[in-house]
Amino acid sequence: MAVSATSDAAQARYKPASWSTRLRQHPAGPVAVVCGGMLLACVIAGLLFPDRFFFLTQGNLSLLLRAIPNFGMVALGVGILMIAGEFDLSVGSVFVAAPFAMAFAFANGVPLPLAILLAFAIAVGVGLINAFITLRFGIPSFITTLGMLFIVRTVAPFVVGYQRSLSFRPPTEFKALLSGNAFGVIPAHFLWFIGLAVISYLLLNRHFLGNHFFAAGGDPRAARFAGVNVNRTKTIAFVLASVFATIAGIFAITRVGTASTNPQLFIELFAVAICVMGGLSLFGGRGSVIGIVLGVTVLQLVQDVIILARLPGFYLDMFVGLMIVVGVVLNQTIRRKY
Amino acid sequence: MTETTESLDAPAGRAAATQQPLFEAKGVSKAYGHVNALMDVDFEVRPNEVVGLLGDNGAGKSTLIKILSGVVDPDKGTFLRDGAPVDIGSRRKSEAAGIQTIYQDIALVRSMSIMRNIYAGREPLGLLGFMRMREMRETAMKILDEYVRIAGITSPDLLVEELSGGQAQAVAIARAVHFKRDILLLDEPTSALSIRETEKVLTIMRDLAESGVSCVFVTHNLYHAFRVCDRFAIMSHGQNVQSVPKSETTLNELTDVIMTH
Repeated sequence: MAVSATSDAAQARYKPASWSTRLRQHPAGPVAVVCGGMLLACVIAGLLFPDRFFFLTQGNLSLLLRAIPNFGMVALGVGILMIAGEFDLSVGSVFVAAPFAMAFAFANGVPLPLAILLAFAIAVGVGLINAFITLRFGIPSFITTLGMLFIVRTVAPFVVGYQRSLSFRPPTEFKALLSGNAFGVIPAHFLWFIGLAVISYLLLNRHFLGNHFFAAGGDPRAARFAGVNVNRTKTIAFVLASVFATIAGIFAITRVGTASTNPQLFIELFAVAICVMGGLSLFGGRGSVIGIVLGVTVLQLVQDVIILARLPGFYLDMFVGLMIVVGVVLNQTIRRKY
Repeated sequence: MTETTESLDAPAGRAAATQQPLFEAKGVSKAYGHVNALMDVDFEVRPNEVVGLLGDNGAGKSTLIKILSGVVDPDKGTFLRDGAPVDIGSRRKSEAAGIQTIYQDIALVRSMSIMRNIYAGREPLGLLGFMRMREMRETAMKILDEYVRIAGITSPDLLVEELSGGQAQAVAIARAVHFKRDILLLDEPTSALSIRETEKVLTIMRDLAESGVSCVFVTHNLYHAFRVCDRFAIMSHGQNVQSVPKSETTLNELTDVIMTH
């Protein structure tokens, strides 16, 4: 076979996509605009009415930075799994149950590292069960994980003797590392979230697993024909979703100092909502980490504004509902154009 | 790559027939429910040949191609590579046995970029399983330039869904041709292509056979088949009908055989 083009000629003909093309293609474009606009509006309002709208106070900003990681960490895992073409609603229960098991073991004399390992073992176990049932029997993961949401929620308190809550008192260094402040002002929790987001980005965009997640979610058949092991890829994504929810849960109980088996209301649905707002496709294969980060930021910004403006709390739910519907409609219409 | 087409005619009476087959499939059967897609089919690929796999719709050509590619499991059948038994039970194993495939229905993920598609399932890996992005980008550009050169493909970062059917098929062909080893299976590769692109694919097949990569060409277009193939394997209703070298048949004869079975 004759080689007709030198590498140099190829370089000249095929340029990497321009930044405008990338922005247009980027699934997080709309949420970036919304997030930027809201931030700008909040800052302006905070500057205009410093004595009525306390957005720019250190207390408020610090609160915002502490609120973002809670849903954000769960949404990262759920988002990666969504890109791989599957849902996980059981994260709501794993978020509660795995850290509770950790706190329970720790309270009963198990060394902290082992207790943490136990939490992750539970997470991996739930992820594997979700994957096995979904992939082996060809069931929509929405259903499988809805079932697991209820099962994990009820089994967890049963296993530990119907204990509803217990205090979690880790060593102070552990608590400081997870929920202290870096440089005196930035919550460590937020930095961990950013770290997790960077890892997720590298995984999705620079790691071969990420390539397989996008392929398996975008078109499982084509992925299989190209040589991607779709079931293994999706299984890994299921496990990641559970593990990320567990990480989020461990941060939550460390911050609060109490582990409870009471369900965190709708965290699994908020995670899906954040992902959809962030431009991830409900059908898999499309999405970005930056979209998830912006999605959760928008959500918490709205919550913050509602609190600062002393509006009734149900405004948040209404806003989230609207954003999901509008977001999905927008995504669909934009896709149809191409 | 030359743009001329007169060299497409296969040299008649090549020695391939006497050599040991590169790859053999023996007694392959596959049923989907009550439908017997393949019944005890034998098929072989010889060194340095383009073999045309012909037959009407429902003859089982695509099923056979998918089995050879490792994406469909046969119910029965043995496979030999250079005379030795070989396992082609998954895409990876089939690839290890030297087989690359261009599928009839374009096997690209539409929501992914060209570059990510080219490397799906065979990413060049560096430390800890991270992809060597620079190498991927450079090779992707080279692949596009060498084998495709189609108007409109300006960047390996374009999403496949932004390409036309012909452009996407050209990318799929370029990917398979680049990663080819010993055998390239082409399942109706030209059905979505323009005349010029089709000519290029036919030329590529001939060039590959000369350079030692045997091709299996599945097509409904007997004119195309007759121009590039050294041998024809004809199937009908999931069974072998005939295997005939080009030197011993004519276009009319081939048409008759397919029509009457």
